[in-house]
Amino acid sequence: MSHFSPLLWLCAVSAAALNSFTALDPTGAYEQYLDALGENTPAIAAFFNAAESGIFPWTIPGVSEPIPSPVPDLLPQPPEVVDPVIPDEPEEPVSQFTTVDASYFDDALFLGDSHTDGFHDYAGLSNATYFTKNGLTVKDAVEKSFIELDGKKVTLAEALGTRQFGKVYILLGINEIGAYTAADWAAQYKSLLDLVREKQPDAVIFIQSIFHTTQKKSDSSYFKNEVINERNAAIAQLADGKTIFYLDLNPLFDDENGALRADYSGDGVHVRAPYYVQWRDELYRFGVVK
Amino acid sequence: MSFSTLPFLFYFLPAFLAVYYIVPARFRNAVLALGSLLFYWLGAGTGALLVLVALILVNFAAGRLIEDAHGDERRAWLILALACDVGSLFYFKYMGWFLENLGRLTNTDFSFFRVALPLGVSFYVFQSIAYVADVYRGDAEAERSLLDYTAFQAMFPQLVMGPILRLRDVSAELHMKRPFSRAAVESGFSLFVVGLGCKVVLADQLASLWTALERIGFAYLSAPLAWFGAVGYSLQLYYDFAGYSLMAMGLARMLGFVIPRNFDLPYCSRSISEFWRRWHITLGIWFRDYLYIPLGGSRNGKRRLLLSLFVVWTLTGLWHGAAWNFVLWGLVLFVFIALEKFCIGGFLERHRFLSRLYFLFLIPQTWVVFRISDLGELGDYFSRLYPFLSSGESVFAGDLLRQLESYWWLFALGILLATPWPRRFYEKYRATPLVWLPLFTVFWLCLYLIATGTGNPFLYARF
Repeated sequence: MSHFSPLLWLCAVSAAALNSFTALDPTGAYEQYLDALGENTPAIAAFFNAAESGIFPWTIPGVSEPIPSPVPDLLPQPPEVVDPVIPDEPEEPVSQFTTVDASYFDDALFLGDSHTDGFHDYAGLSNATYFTKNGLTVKDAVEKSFIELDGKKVTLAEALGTRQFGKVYILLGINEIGAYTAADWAAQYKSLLDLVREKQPDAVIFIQSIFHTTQKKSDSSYFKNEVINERNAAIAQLADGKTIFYLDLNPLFDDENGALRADYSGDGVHVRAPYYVQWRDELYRFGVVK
Repeated sequence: MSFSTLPFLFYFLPAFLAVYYIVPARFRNAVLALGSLLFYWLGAGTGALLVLVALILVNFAAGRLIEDAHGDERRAWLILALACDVGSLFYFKYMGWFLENLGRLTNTDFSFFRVALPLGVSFYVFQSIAYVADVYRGDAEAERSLLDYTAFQAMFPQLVMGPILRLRDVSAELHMKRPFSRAAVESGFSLFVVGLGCKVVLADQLASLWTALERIGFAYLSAPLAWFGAVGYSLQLYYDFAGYSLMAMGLARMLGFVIPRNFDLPYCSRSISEFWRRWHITLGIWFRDYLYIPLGGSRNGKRRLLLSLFVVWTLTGLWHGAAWNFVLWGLVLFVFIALEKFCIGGFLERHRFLSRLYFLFLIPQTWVVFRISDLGELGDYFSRLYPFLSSGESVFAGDLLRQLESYWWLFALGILLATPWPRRFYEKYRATPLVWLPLFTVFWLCLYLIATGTGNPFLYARF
């Protein structure tokens, strides 16, 4: 006599049920997730994507924050954008940057994704503070509890409330390069800056450019340098030249075509270990001392 | 279409099973044949489908011609079929590499030659060769029905990643009515979920470790991290491929076929030779029956033995990929297998603990050679495995600790599942909640990971 193993029937019924439920979407909670699905993807994928953002069947639609849309006149009008990468031009106004050393970073905060994570390990600035997470996006940086403090996971807002930093370095953007328009994304970035400014009124904020990918990666995936350039141009507008600065770091690692040098990278996106000190040394050139 | 994707699990598989079991039993081979071709077309495209169909027609015809002919004519048909089979494999897989190397030697530019590799071609070409060779040697009766033959060759559970079947493996089931058996379908699905879990929960998650090492740069890893990475890749590759083979076995069983096991606790081996009787078993059998023994094998003196081993292992390496590191890998395996056969075999037999140490020390290093195509980077990696070989600049001393926090539990699980006990537990308690309840959880965990995940491409997908 063969034993009855209900595994197949349990899986089939539960999967079919959840898939149908998500597809029918009686509460409307899954609408944007269903729309975002690829062509041949079953509805159940939307269920899981939504769950990752904390949305479940019992969540009422509209309570979760919609993706911010750009309102042009609310974006800051920078009076003057100081371009920090060409300081040798003769007509350049006196630069407010001074060269600093490692101790400058004692009260520095680095906020970012896997690039900053690599910087943490290989740039040798262990005196600074790091709030990083692989895969971090601007939206997640604002909303998610990704920072571990005293054994607990807290949000950026909570973490920024625990101490005052003298300077905050931000590098985000590559992980959501395939999502949103440049304007929408820049608006999210502005919200992030507003949050940081609110919690850290006296800190100097450095917006670091999104790093280019290698030519091969850019050509073969959606991590395209044209999109990166567009986004960098958008966030460069958010600097005010007084307390918020934009740093274009790409010339450090670019080849003659404006792509990441292929011999610098193992995966087409990140530089290998020895190059992080070059990034650090570049940051030494742009200290802002009040 | 990979088995670990939502379209396969939610659309293709249920639809196929429904059609397969609703039609009267005598049409099931046809459904299997046509459904498998559809599966292949969906996953590999029209060009690849044409290649598969062409090879099916050629080998089917050859089988019948060989069987019906006499004397030298039989040999002629065999050679013709082999030429088509080996020729296609060479053309699609090795021509580009051959030309690239020829170009380097003669300073010519052959880069105009570009051809797409049909998915699974290494597997089904080998399966075709085995078929015509078996018919020629009288080990199998040629298939008279094209549909039956297509069902055998193309059956979707094993078409793209093996196990490499021989006709005798499935002949009985192929020619009988396969009635719906609830027990077979249930046990097949259970095995399928185990395989799915291996691939999605273990292999795909472990894959991020190797990616992280690539990102840092092999020359800049600390020695402990380099070893950790080698072990991690060994686990990743195992669960990826063994997971796929289990899914294949499970699916085949759901269709009424019992196909041979492809992996048999390979990391419990005590020598490289034993390992290759437990890893990708059907490939080892293929090389033994269709190359090693015809070359003379172990029955024609030591020199012939060495030569046979050399040819078999170099070609085994090359079968895995068209690049020099695969040749190197094959040669490394040859050296150790020859060493074991001629020198240290007896010693390993007698010393259980030392032989396991020997094996477990070597095998991750062989996988590093397998994994890294660029010989310069391969050298970098070994210079970190043996750090006295390099200057160790830009190494971050805490790099292992960083990775350990993310991967320790995957390693623990991976090592546990590589031992005999989980399998014994599974076989004993399969029908009880002790097994199906956790598997139900694994099933949902897999769905979640697939839906939200960074799907890692199947490692053997170069094929």
